[in-house]
Amino acid sequence: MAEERLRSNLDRAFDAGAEFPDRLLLSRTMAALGRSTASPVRPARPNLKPSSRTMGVLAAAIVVALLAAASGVFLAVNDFTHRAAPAGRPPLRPATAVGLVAGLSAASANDAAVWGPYNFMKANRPTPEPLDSSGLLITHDGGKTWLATGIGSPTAQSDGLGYMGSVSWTDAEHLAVVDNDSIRVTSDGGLTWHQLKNPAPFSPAGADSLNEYRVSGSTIFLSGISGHLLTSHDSGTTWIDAVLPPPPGGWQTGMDYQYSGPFMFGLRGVFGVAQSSDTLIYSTADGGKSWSGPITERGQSLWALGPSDWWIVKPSGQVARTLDGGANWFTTSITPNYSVISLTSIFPTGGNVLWAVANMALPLRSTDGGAHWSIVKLP
Amino acid sequence: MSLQAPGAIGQDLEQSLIDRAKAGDRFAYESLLEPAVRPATRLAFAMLQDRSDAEDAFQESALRAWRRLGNLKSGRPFQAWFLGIVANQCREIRRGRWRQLIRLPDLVPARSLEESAWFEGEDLRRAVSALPHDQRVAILLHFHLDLPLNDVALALGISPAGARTRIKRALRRLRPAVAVSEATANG
Repeated sequence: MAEERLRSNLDRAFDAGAEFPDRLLLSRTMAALGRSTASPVRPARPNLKPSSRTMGVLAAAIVVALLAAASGVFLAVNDFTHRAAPAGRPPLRPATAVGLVAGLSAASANDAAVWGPYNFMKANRPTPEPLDSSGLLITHDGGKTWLATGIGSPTAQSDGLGYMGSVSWTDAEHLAVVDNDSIRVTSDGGLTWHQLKNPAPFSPAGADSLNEYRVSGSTIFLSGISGHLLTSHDSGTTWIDAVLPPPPGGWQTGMDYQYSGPFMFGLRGVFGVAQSSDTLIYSTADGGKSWSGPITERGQSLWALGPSDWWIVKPSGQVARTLDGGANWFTTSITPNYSVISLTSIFPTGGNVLWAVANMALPLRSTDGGAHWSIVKLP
Repeated sequence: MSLQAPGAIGQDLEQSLIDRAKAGDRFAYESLLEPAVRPATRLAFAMLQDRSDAEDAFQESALRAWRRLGNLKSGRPFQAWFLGIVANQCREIRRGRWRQLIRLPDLVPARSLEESAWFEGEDLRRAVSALPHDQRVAILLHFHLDLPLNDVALALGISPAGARTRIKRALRRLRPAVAVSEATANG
């Protein structure tokens, strides 16, 4: 009894208030550990139907034109000295102009990839058209220079957008790309690639919706088939089909689901399946052997910085974040400093650097936690 | 407040995460750290009585623990071990606090309690603060964080019997302050 009174008195005497500790304390701590240089795998920008993507690109093109007209002088070229690439390696191409992209995927403050690039302003054309066939572009210096991989030719699709299922980062050197007919991986930051054996019995060539590839250690996740998440725990030798609990109403035939993740943090992980303007969020505590959920959250483009630290872009373009695994969401102050654009995807890196896509096609980067944004320039 | 807070992880999973973290997996480390944030910051606040210092203590402890993870013996629970590091970090901060001589406690922590309630606990805070470090940590771990005796012992790096002895001694010293606090609380 006396002990209970002591407990109660101590709780009162040392009550630091409901807002203690700061909700960002763990994130700040992990950032201090240097996590920004070793990011987890990244979700690709959700696949969009060609019609939606085309509209997004057009909207972004209009925005770019408005920005150019408003400023009088178009955004200056990044100030940097182009370095010669080592012999035998493809040259790094300097970023010289504003471009629009079909997708973006970022691994850290400096490492990111874009695909389906349009050098709209460089081409000086009223509507975006593909300028070249550089396909997937990778930067390792925050967008100052780009490596043209040649993967994902923008002429591959009828809309010319260089359709690509996903680009998944394990770290700055290890990427996996799922495009129309293959899974390719690199372990040297994109210089050389090799094609993976298709995960029988599913083939990317025969599965239009196969659009995510995630690597976490020897574990590979492959999503894209409604209600299923193919998982290999032996680097792709054998596969199991993890069945996801269905959402209320079940899986809808013909629905264009968009997938994010899984993002793995040790044995814990989170996986998003977006439908319309909502995202179904699943979580695992056993390395992906089983999944619980879903919880439904308004928004798309789920991203996770930690097992309970999730980000999502609301239909309004606001960025929402939860630090307790979806129990409570709060709207961040992240907002574009251009009133004519609206964020559609967000790619936090754990530090002050964030990447984003606005109006479905305009790549952005912030170095101050999302207070101010710059347009990412392309070769 | 129970140590097994929401989000607490099972023993097998924890050992797996510890192994991964020792191998350099920062995300595994974050998974270990996440359930420890609240108890660790509560302990730090009770030790330092300043929210900013308490958060600094947590951060510094997390960095230290990361560097010393190899010292965590197999099978030993992470959280108790980590709380021990937090306690030591708080001691270092207190030692370096020359300014505490002229500094008031953190009176404006945007707390939900009324200010009067804060002052009512002042006798207890002073009494806890006056305890020797080892006794103060023991009493806070056991009564404020609700750690079982075995975990208190693990955090302090002593035997359960030793932890019990420290708590008993601390209780003896605290008794007058607790009585005052109760009398105040009871009106």
